[in-house]
Formats: sequence, structure tokens, C-alpha cells
Amino acid sequence: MDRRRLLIIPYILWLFGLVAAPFLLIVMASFGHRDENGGIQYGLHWESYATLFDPLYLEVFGRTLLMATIHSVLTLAAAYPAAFFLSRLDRTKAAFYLTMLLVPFWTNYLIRLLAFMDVLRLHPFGLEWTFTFRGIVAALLYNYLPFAVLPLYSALEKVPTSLIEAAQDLGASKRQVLFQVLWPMTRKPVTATFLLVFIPALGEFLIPELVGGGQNFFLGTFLQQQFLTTRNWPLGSAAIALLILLASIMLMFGGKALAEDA
Amino acid sequence: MKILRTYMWGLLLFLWAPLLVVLIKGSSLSAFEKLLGNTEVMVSFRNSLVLGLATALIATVLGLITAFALPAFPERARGWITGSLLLPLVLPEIAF
Repeated sequence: MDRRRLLIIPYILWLFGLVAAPFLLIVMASFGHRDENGGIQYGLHWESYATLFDPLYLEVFGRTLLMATIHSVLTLAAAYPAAFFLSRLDRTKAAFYLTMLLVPFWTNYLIRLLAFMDVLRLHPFGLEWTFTFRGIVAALLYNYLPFAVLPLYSALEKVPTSLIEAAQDLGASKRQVLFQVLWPMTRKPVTATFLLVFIPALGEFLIPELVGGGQNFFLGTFLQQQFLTTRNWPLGSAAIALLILLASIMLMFGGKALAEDA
Repeated sequence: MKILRTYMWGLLLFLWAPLLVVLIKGSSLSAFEKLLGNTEVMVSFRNSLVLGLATALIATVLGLITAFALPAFPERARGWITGSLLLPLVLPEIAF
């Protein structure tokens, strides 16, 4: 056996110690029972899961899925043309634009978000955007856009310009180039990018809290409440377990594309 | 391409606008003076710097070691390893 394989040990330790173990703890807690002091009595109770299937909470789940879906579709639609533009530039120019795209995101997340809210409060937007669903979606779009442009860029870069020219020489319109050449060639990376912006958005809690003013109840808000305010850790854990289950199912379908892309 | 370039600049404006608004609204020389004169702020700067450097150092070394080990594995195992690598990246932050 190649002795280099032993070097994987730190990674395995990290994976089990810091990714798998916390997840296991969450699952255990989700079957627990909340005691009067907000602690957890471990056991095998289904009550947290039963509570989650209350229509009230299902609505929260549904609203979160809706928010994440709208945001992901818009983000992809906004990122795709930009990524295509970048992919047709020479390396130096593309590097310039990519830097311009990423630099704002070196700023702290919270500061960026507060700054974005400042813009939403400016006159042309007025009160129609702050504390609303679309304001939340706009903030998500703002926050995830660069993360969508990057993988799409690396995918589109692999499409040779000569191919597009060939299609055009054969009489393809711009629309046909987009839907019959570019789109089929980048479907997998698009799926991967979708997951990359969709799944994290499901657990987003600062954006609904700040931009949404806490008026729209989302999964992230719910989790934060269960863990910090109401201190019902089993209920929160059950919601997280379901969230991770959902994310895992999506990853199983689209994860291959994601791994290939990375 | 021209339309796309204009679009790109529009996107950049969208991404930069919030920061520019904050800078224009909030900054003045006296604010910087206050910032530099505040020992508490400077201490927190130093803490952040140490934290960031340490994280970058440890993560890079661990990543390097793992990346070095990867080619020694057959393709299938490599797929599993790189796949699991993405888990914490993709799973909602709040879950951890």
C-alpha cells in the first residue's frame, strides 16, 4: 500500500470529529425531551418530529423553500450572463473583473448586510423593500451572486468560442446558441451552482431577521428561536435533522455534478 | 459583448453600492482618528489578525496534507473523499 495514504488521517479525524459527531449529537438531541429548565433529557421520543408536522411549522418550511427557490433561480439568471461575459475575455481581463466581483465580499458579512439595508432604505426603494419578502430575496441575491458566478465561469470557460461561432455560421440565432449549445453543455455545473446557493439559503437567519425585520418567519429564524430564546433544543435539533436530510437528498441527486465541478 | 459588458458593470455597481454608501455616509477623518486612538479597537484588530492567520495556516497545512494523500487512492475512494469535503460547505451554516 502506498504510504502516502496515511496522510489522509487528519482529514478523517476532522470529518468524524468535527462534521459527523456534531451531526450525531443533533440527531440524538432531536429524539430527546425538553426538561423544565430548557435542558435535554435524552431518550427515544418522537414528540419533536410530531410537533414539526403541525401545519404552523409546515408553513414555515414551505415559505423557506419558496424563498430559497426564488432566490436561487434569480441568482443563477443574474450570474449566467456575467459568467458568460467573463468566459469570453482573456485571462488578465477576466482576473480583473473577478477581483472586482470578490473584493466587496471580503467585508464582514454583518457589515455588508447592514450596508445593503442602508441602500434598500434609500429614496427610490422607500418602504416597499425593507421588511418584505422581496427585500429578503434581494439581499440573498446580493449575498450569493459571486458564489454563483465563479463556478459558472469555470464551466463556461471550457466552451470554446469556435463552437459558438460554428453554431452561428450554421445559422443559429443568439437564442438558439444559448438554449441549444451553451445550456446543454453547462447543465451539470448549473445544477451544482443551484445547490451551492440554494442549500445555504435554507438555513439563512440573519437576512430574514435584519432585512425581513423578523416579520417573516423562516426556518433559520425558527432555529435561532428554538436554540436561543425558547430553549427547546430537541425541537430545533429535529428541524435541523430534517433540513440536513433534505439537503442530503438534494446532494445525492446533484452532488456528483458538484464534486466534479470542484 | 457590449451589452454583456454593460450588464457586468451594472452587477458590479450592485455589489459595490452598499459599501460605497456606507463609506460616503459614515467616514470622516475624525472617525478614523477615534478608531486608531481606541485601544480596545486596536486589541480586537490584533485578535482578529491572529485568529485569521492561525486559521489560514492550519487550514492550508491540513488541506495540503490531504491533497497530497489523495492521488494515492483509487478513483472511487477519491470521489467519496472529495464529496464529503463539500458537506460542511453546502450544509446550512446554522446546523453547526
